[in-house]
Amino acid sequence: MARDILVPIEEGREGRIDGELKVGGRMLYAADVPVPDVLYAAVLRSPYPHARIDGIDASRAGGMPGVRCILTGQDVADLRYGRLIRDVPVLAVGKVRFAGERVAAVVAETRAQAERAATAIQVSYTPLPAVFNPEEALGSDAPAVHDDPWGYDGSLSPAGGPRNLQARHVWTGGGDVEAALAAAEIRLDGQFSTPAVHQGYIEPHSCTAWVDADGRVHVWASSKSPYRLRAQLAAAFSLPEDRFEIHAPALGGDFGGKGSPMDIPLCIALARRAGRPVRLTLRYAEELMAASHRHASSIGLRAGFSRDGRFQAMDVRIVFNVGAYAGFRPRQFLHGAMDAGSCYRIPAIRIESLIVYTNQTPGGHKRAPGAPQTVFAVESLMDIAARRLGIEPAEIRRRNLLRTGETAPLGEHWPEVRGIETLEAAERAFRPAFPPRPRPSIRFGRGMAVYARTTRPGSTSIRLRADATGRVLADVAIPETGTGSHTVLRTVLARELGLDPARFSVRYVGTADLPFDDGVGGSRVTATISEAAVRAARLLQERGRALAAARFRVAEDGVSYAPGGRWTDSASGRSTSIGDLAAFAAERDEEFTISAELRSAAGGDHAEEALAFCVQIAQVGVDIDTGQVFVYEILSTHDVASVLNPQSHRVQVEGGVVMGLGEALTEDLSIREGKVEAAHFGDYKIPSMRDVPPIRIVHLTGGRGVGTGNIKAIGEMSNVPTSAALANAVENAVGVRIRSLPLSAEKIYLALQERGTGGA
Amino acid sequence: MGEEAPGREIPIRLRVNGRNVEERIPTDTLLVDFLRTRLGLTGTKESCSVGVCGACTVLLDGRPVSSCLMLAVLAGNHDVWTVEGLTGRREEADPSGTLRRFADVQHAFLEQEGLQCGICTPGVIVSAYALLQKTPRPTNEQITNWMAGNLCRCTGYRSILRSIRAAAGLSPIGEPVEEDAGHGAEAGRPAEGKPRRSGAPGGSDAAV
Repeated sequence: MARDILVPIEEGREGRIDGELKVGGRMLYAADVPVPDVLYAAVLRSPYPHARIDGIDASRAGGMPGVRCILTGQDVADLRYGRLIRDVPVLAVGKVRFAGERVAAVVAETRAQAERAATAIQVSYTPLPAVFNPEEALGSDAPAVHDDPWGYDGSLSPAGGPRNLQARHVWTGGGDVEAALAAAEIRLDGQFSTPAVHQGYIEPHSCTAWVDADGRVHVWASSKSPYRLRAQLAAAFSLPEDRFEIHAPALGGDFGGKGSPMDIPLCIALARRAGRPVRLTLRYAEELMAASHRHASSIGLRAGFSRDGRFQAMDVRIVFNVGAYAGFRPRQFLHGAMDAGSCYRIPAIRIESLIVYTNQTPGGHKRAPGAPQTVFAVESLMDIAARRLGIEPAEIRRRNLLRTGETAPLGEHWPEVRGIETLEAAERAFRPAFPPRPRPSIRFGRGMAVYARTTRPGSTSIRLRADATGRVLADVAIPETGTGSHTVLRTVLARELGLDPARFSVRYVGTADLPFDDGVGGSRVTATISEAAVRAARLLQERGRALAAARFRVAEDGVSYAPGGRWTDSASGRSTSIGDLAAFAAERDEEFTISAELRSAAGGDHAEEALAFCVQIAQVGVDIDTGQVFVYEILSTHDVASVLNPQSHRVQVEGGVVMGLGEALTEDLSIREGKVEAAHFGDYKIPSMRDVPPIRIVHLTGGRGVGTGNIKAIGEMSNVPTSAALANAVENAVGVRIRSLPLSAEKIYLALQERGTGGA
Repeated sequence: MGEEAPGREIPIRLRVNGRNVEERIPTDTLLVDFLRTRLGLTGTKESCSVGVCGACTVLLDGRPVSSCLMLAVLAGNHDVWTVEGLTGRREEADPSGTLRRFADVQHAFLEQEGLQCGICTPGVIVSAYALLQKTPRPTNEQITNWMAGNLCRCTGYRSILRSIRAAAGLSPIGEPVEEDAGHGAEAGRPAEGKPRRSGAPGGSDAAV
């Protein structure tokens, strides 16, 4: 029976606040929400990476069973959307720019009817010359992906630059890089690349839109940032934000991919036309060919080292392939570009980020956007340099890692830098995990990589309401993407008020009636939500003081709060509880409620941003006959401050390692001539349970985090260095350096053959 | 409703979650759509639609099947259990202590946090329950081979492995979170003028 599994799980230990709903299958995700009279949509997509649309004949489809309406680009030609730059059409208008682009959409009584009718729409295309390689796209004679990229709202295309250059950003720090490279004792250059990889959340995007009788638009969608979504929809439809209400189903995984409007504007247009609610759920093939994967990258490094292995300069040129549209990215650059060398002492650095339009599926955000690409290149280079200079991989890093008090190459400064300490903790923890009797063709290797990222809180709002039974309901604006954030909120509220966690409920309320929230991202959720909880708990105590003072008819400053939910008048000794005060407030037609707002500012003793390190050591075996990589163990060492929920923290680390493992070894959308070849989960291989090695986690404790809760980021740490650690382990095992991801058996085999040391 | 060939309806009778169901179903309707849309049993999820991810796993005559690969009409005269039915089903504890109830498996997943976003969780737990019915004390290899048909993107599977081992009453795998207070020159040095805060105790297997 369901009652058997109620929390608490174990004395003194709290389970996830959403756990029971999830294990019982009762949690509602976007595709599960019952909406009366809902119709279903299906999308017809382009088979061509670049083509003119000469005509669309939907007459036969329109007459098919169950079909209610069909939209084509001409019906929504005035709508463009985006997170920053608004270049994404709702349906292709005049031409298609990638294979998988939305061309037409059908609404029918059932999904099967809509899908059948979509295939009956006839589209005539004239294929156009297409460009897939970003370097070629930057050439003056390359086909134009957009005729006027400068004309889009929010356009970032540099004036006078190549037409396909979507955005450019350059960071510099320290001295003259070219001069320092020219003077360097050792010069090392390297070219690295990473493919397009999908977030791989198990829940495909789903949205349901309904326009009510007052013209207000209701949306139930898989969105990790509903308030920003509302703003983006308002901009796209030229309507005030209050005409949209984003409801709040659970999210079935995000990893950065659920932050854009995606198909929601189309769903709204369909609901308007149909006059009924419309649901559009992507097939996973559509996810893989047309959502917003991690950008493919090409990274050129030019580094100068002294003979004793110290950085003298580094020049980084990163070319990201954004594909056909840039509206899935909220910034001019991918933040991870700045991670190139950011944890090392580099006297002269220059990082250039070029983001280039091509005729392929658009890129967006995935867990630590830009960082796994950049860190794969730089951490591979560290091992290349170590090998060249005859220094141990750990030692070359130790010589270059920043120390507390030093300033990072681009000028950031943190109160605490524990890179060397984290590296040393990883080395102390290392134990060989190689199997005792491997096949004779197996060679063992170990590899290390380092990553650091900052933690800063974001913005959110929260409301607490106490009732006469003494329970406290927290309404929150931040979605729970699965990380355990709402459980952490409950933990902090309970701690700050000295109350049993079982007395709290947490309710995610969408955009209905809280003022703002900046969504899930940037590994900031725990810092944000815990700080907001501290603030809210203090406000609740204050509000309780006011109510208690009114009840006792004394001055507020005579009333004090004690953990456990009691307010006491010190003069008379009378005291009252949360439930009593809620009842008292109700008698006066008031509520025992407070609202707290947090705007990107940490409180408490630690207002500055914090830096967190992750050092991983991978142990592998490589089969020299086949190139196959066997991973025996990944050690993930983390520089932590306070850990609010140890079990959830651990699962974040483990899930990240395995996501990194997939990007390192197997995942590749395999885009050829603009077409995604790995278009289902059979070909797009995310790790299964059988692919996962033991993961050892070590915490370097005692760190200084941000905010009252003393938090260091964890969500986007452990997935980042894994690719480089494994590439370094492969070279350590068999002496070949793989500079492109994934580290497939084929690449390793061919590299071994080329070097002439492969097996028989 | 469509009357052309692919959507032709035929009557079927089956048992779902212990109840008799009689419906006319289009011949091309998949079991997952029938359960979710017609019966409102949305605890069964659909993700990959090609039988790889296991999110749509249900029990058919006690065996796990991918309901996205099965036509609903083929479930006629069979016994289907979904996560909703298994959660509500009255199961007596096995007197020999060998067989695990569905609730025992759910409890282990809550205790070990073998879930995060939860979208794969119904399929994962249904599969794990089926494994433990068949093999009450599985080896790690048996668990990982069996569960390879259920993809999870959040957890990295280690907590799922811990959950299944706990559900089976097996000893915890030796993967505690280790703590290092730092021994280097600067390591572990408290921030200037601040009391040293140590991390909370790791979610170690010692607590299992």
